[in-house]
Formats: sequence, structure tokens, C-alpha cells
Amino acid sequence: MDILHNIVYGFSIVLQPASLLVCFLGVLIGTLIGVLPGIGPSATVAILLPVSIGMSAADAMILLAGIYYGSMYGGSTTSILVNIPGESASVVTCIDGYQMARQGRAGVALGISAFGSFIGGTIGVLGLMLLAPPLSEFALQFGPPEYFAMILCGFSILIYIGSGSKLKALLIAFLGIFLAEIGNDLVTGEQRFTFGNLTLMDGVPLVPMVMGLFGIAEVLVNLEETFERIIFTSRVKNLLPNLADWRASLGPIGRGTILGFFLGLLPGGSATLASFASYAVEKRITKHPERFGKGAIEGVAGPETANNAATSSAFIPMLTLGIPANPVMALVMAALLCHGLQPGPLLLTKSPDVFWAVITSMYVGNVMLVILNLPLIAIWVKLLKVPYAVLFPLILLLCLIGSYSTSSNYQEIMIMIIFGVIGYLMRKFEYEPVPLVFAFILTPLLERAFRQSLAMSNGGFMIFLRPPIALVFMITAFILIALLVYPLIKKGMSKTDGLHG
Amino acid sequence: MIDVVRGGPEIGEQAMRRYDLISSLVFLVCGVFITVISLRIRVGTVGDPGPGLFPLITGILMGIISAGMFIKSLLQSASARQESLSEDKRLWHNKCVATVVIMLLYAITIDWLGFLTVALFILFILYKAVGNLSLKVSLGGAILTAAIAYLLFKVWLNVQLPVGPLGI
Repeated sequence: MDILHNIVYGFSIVLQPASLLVCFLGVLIGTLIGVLPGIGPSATVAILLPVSIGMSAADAMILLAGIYYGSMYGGSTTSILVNIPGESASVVTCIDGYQMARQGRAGVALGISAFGSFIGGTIGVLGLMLLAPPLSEFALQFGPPEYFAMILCGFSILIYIGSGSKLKALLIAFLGIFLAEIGNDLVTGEQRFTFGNLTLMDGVPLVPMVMGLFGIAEVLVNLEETFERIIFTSRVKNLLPNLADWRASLGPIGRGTILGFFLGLLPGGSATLASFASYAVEKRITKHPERFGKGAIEGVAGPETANNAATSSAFIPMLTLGIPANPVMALVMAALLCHGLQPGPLLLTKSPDVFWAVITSMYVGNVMLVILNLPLIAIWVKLLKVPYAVLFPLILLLCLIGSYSTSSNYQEIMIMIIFGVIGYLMRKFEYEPVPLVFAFILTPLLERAFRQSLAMSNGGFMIFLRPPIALVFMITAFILIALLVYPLIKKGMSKTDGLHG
Repeated sequence: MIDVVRGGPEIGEQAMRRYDLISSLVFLVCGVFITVISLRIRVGTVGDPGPGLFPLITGILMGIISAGMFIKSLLQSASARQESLSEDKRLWHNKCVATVVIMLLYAITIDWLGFLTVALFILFILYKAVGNLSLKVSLGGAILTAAIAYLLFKVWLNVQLPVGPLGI
């Protein structure tokens, strides 16, 4: 009954005309940036963060959340029609979605993608609603050792599940840790690595950093490419899948929802990881794997459902533990902090209006997205025809405005440009930006928990192993680290043997 | 060929090994730098950790891992020395350099000249020089985009943007 009461309370906030308008704007902007390659949800949320500060906390959260899950809907459109993913979570949709478009089934691909997204998103919100309150209550038992162990475990998971070189992921995470250490020390107030720079005294600002790493860097990389856009506009019809399509898609949608929901809880990757994992699962369990890559509807339904389920569940660790699962959640968390709210176990009791408004807005937003996406596909297709030469100055201008408007300080634009260049070089050198942002956000929490724990135990490291919750996290972290290190050592030894041999 | 995940061009194996060598060396220098600087900050004791302890651990671990990666890349380069070096790609594209310079100009001049003037100027340069659009389209696009951005952010959303000598 409590949950029912809370849902009614949440809807009473969301169904206010102003909140409905904010929700609509959020999902519309989200779909738009999802459609447009070169600007993702991280950069957009960062750009609109200063704008959201002028709103009520609940409306700000509704707007930013709408952008995030809206971008997942929009991302599939470019993947299917142009073979260019609108954002990273839709990369895998290109494989079969584009092939379906080539076979004249673009409408069905877009249709099943929208329906799958709706189902995954809505069930994900249901899971969020049921899981978040008990998790908040459980997290109230956490002290500094538990927090330290949990974040360490989060780091291990992030590195373990990340794509590419694990060594590079570790190095980039350490760079994130270092960047978070710049500024006034959180306990003593002493300055660290500021070298007298006033802007750096408050630490490296998150918004310009994220906009540089995700927005500017993406534009710079795209400038090197001349995308050949072959859009299957004339064939976008019959958006409603037939009975056979539904029969083939129901399994992938169900599995995608469950997989996406649980992967969205993990630190890093989330929606992107969920879509890749769903595709891999569908390809493995099908009786006809040869159809994959040639326009199998399961290859669109599963991943598109999974990435939307993951966006809903990504809110759980942020809202209940104060730990963002990905850069977008970090920015949403920053918005909460700007409104004077501390994400974590106490958010539910101290600000139930914000908590339940965000959750119920996702139901409303998902309905809006289905209504919005299917009839507006023709408009999104027209948008795709806009050349990148026209789009990129617009994206850059938005980033430049966003970075300046947070503190009216030109040095923050400089910081954004520096991170843009770093992000560009990271892509060239094959370093993922996610571990950097994740480490940057969690290091203050990690360091505080580490120092408090050591102070509590007079320097005894056993404090991290004594509480049962901390012990579970530490054991998981050690197993994952061992699994990471062992192959590297084995590989290194065999290389050395090979050279000597 | 486009690498859809990263969005950039594929880089050859040999070039990537060279990139790995360079990047690990950069991280090694960073690790040493962080370690040295953090020793100047109060490290404290294990029972009473100071502000320098965490950076010290960060610097040491970064140094160790980057040294490991440097050795790994060096070993890989040694075992594959016979591979062609011709697959290397240019690290910086002219368009990227131009875009970065234009953005830096925006950052430096925005407080003096105001948002509208600087936005108009950089949009025109980006459309014309980087986007290779015609003079008419570049000028029209720059005026339209700057005007919409001004109306949307400054007038409607009341975002704090600097005013230039003309009061706009």
C-alpha cells in the first residue's frame, strides 16, 4: 500500500501542467540528440545542467532523466536508417537494423525498436520502484568501511567488464582519481595540485570536463570522417510489426529487459554494455545464428529493449547509494547537489517528492516517447539529411555556452577545450573515457571513507574486512582483480619466454 | 573504414604499439610527478592520514602500472619489428587543429567582445573554413544560429552570458 500511495503522490507532481511540459521537453530533446550523431546524452545533460538549476528540484530531475532515456529511443533511428549510431548504446542496432532497412523493413525495425524500448523502459521503472526503497533502507547500515569496500568493488567491476585493454582502463581510472584530488582537501582544506590557480581550488569542474571528453572530443573525431549517409527514407512505412515479428521478438524483449536491468546497476557501460550483451545472448541461443547480421529482428528487439531497461535501473545506485553508474548519472547527481539534495539512502525520506516524481515521470515519459517516436520518424529522417558541416558548429556552440554558463568563468571553457583534446587523444590511443569520469566522481567519497576508516581503527587495515557487508565487497573486488591480473601476468611471461626462446 | 564503436579511423597494429609506448611514458611521467608533489603535501600516518596520502598512493600505483604497460609495449614492439610502419595514421587532422584554435579564440575574447559578436565570428569561421560551406551559406548560417542561440539562452532561459561593447 505504501508503494501505491507513493506512486499516486509521484503522479500528483508529474501530472501538473508545468512538470508535464518539462517531461515532454526532456524526452523530445533526448530523442533529438539520440537521433543526431555527434552529441550524446552526457554532453546534453551537461549543457542543460545550468538551465535546470532555475527549476524546482523535481522538474530538473524530470528534465534530465527524460533526456537520458529519450536518447535511447532516438539512437536507434540513425542506426537503422543510416548505419551510424546516434549514441553508443545503439551501435549494435546498426548490425541488423540497417540490414532490415536495406531489405525494405526499416518501418518494422523502427517499430519494434520503439515498442521494445517502451516495454524495457517501463518494466525497468517498475524494478526501480520496487528495488530502490529497500535498498535505501539497507544502505543506511553502511559506514565508511562499507562505502570504501563498495566503491573499490565498483572500480573492479568497471575495469573487469570494460571493453579494450584492462591496463589502459586502470591507468585512465588513476588519472580520474588524480584529477579528483586537485583542489582543497576535503578534510583539512589544504590545497593540492592547484599551483595557486583560483579556478582549481574548488577542484576540476565536472561539467566542462564531461562536455570536453564526450561533446568536443566526439566532434573532433567526427570531423576527420566523411560519413556516407545513405538514408532509406522512401521505405519507412508499416511501422507496426506483424504477428510473426512479434513472435520472434517477444523472447528477446523479455530477456533484454532482465539483462538490461541488472547490467544497468553495474558501474560503467550500463546501456551500451546491456545492448551488446543482449545481442550476444540472442545470437548464442538462437537456432539460426546465421540470420544475425543479415536483418534478424531479434538483433534489434533485444538490444533496444536492454538499453532502455538499463537506463531505468542506472538510477538505482545513484538515488539509493549516492553512487552514479555512468557519466550521465554523475551529472544528474551533480544537479541534485546543486539543488541542495544529497543523493543516497536519506534522499527517499528527506525528499520523497523528488524521488517519486522522477520515478513516475519515467512512466509518463515512456508513453510520450512511444507516441512521439512513431509518428515523428519522418521528421527525424529529415533531420538526418542535415549535413554534419552544418551541425557541428551548433554542437560546439552549445558546449561553449554550457561550459561558460555554470560559473561565468572563461577558464572553464579552457578546461573544456583541454579535456576535449584529451578525449580526442584518448580515442586515438584507444583509452575509454568512462573509467576516468567514474573515478573522478567517486574518488572524494572513496578517499573520505578510506581516511575515516583508518582514523576509526587507528591505522588498522582489518577494518575493511571485519564488517560482513564490507567483507563481501572486498572478496568480490579481490576475485575480480585476480581475474584481471592473472591473464596479464601469464601473457607477459609467455611473451618473455618467446623472446628468449 | 570507420570503426563504429570509436567513430575514428582504424589504426594499424604497429602504430598502436607506438601509441601505447608514448601514452605509457606520459602516464609514467605523470605518476612520478604526482608522487613527488604529494610528498610535499602532509602525508600523515596510517592512523592519522594526511591530505598527501591518497595522492601518494595514486602516483605510485600509476607509475607502477604505466611502467608495466611500457615494458609490455616494448616487448610487443620487439617481437613485431619486422612489420610495416607505413600503416601509421596522422594523429592530428588539420580540421581538428583549426577547430581547437577557434574555440580557444572564443574563450579568450568572449569577456571582451560579448557572446553575440564572438559567437557570430566563430560560427562563420567554422562553417566557412572547417565545414567548407559557401560564403553565403556560412554567413547566413552564422547569423541565424547566433541569433537563435542568443534568443534561446540569453533572452528566454536567462543564462548568464557576457555582454559586449554594443550592449548585446
